Amino acid sequence: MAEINCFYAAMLPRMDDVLQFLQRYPLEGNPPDVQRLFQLTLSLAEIAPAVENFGQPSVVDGYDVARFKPMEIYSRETGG
Amino acid sequence: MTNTAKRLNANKWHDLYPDLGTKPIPIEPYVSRAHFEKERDLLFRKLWLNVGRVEQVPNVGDYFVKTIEMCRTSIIVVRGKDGDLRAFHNMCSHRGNQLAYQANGNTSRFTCKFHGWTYGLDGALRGITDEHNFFTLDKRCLGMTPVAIDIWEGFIFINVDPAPAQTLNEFLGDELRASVAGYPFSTVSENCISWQTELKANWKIVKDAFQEIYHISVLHHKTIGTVFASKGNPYGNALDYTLFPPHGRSSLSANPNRKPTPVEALAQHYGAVVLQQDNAVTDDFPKGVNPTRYANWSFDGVAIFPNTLMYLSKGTYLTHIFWPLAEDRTLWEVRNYSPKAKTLAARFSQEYGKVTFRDTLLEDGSTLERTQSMLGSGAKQEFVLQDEEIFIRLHHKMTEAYFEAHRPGA
Repeated sequence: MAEINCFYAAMLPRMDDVLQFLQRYPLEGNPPDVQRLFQLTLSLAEIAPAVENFGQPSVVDGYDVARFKPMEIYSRETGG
Repeated sequence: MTNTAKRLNANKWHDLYPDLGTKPIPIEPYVSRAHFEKERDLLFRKLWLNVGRVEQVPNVGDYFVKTIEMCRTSIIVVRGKDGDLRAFHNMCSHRGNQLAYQANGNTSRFTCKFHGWTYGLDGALRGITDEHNFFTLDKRCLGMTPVAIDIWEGFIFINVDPAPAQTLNEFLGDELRASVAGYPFSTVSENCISWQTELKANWKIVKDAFQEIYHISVLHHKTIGTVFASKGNPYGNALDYTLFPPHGRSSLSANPNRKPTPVEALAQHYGAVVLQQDNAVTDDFPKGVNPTRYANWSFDGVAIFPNTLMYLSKGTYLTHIFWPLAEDRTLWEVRNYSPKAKTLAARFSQEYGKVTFRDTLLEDGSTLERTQSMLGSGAKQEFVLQDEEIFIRLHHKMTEAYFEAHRPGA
């Protein structure tokens, strides 16, 4: 949880600027540094509830996330 | 169009549907093997079942395979050379081996890996290995066995009854179809992600958890509780329930005063589609979605009997499909549909929406196996339902009606 808190604290103050910057880019064909920055925001989306809602990495009293298997059925995205 | 005005003169939603009654419902259907087998024979082997979207099979030769244990079969859905979708039992006419092993793909034919019998995309038997060594064969009678298939708003439904009692349109009914007509399914369905899990619980325990909102302010108080519940509506009671038996539709409000978390606020600013606050609908929005035209609307729930729930909101929608495996086991399949984001910032926003949705489902999931684990104790014989749990009661009533219709001598 310490690492998650650290990442959250590092990202949040920069997010206004980051999202204004990413708002200029479409999903595909971006330079690697833009793509990397975008992926950092996806990581923030993933861990935000741990910090803001749960105070622990996983959902409080939740169903085992390892048993809840994600799967892409189809996508029109190629850049995500 | 809605029941909201009618309800002003009534105490409860149940007053509008007196046939449902208000008594507790029995627990026995959640634990009984005999009841489960009746559900298999009289619901799942008789009724139309939602198995996917047309976007999964856009091109000629595209196919996917759906295993439906409740129907004791695996079904191939394939787009033919004429552009039409067809469904077949995934079974060779020779000695029964499955024809497609992959979950999906594109092919020009189906060839059995056992003895090499070959079928066209239209299911017709095209080739038999060492054919002259057989006896009298009529190839025209040895095609893949077809399964009834039809499409509604881009959703693919199949029916394993060789002679379905109703067409899909008849089964869904004019009112339900008119209610949803005009929702922009094709643009919102550009991306589809799914979560699946196999649970140790009866399929109705899982379904029931997602067709009532009574639990939201309690179970989800750490996540989305205050998305719905507000000072004026502390239990997040629905704006409307309209039943189109055996189906139904609910409509839920949003809390205009919810204080978003910092990341949620960022996601909303860039168009988050799950928890956005600006859900006001314009006149071109379908009349049957947000039927009361409530300014602080969140989503409508559409329950399609027997095993599909849809949540329609602005810019995204979700489906739950509950696949029974045994009287105490269920495959729970969730899908989240969203349009392709125009920018990376909007894509971040969608990601936050998906994560929040998933975490909410994990909260829901916590109760399901715990509940099932107690049902066999015999300590209780009934569930007591309140007014906002009307869809649960509808499900039981409709099941009884289907069972009664097939009772010997009925």
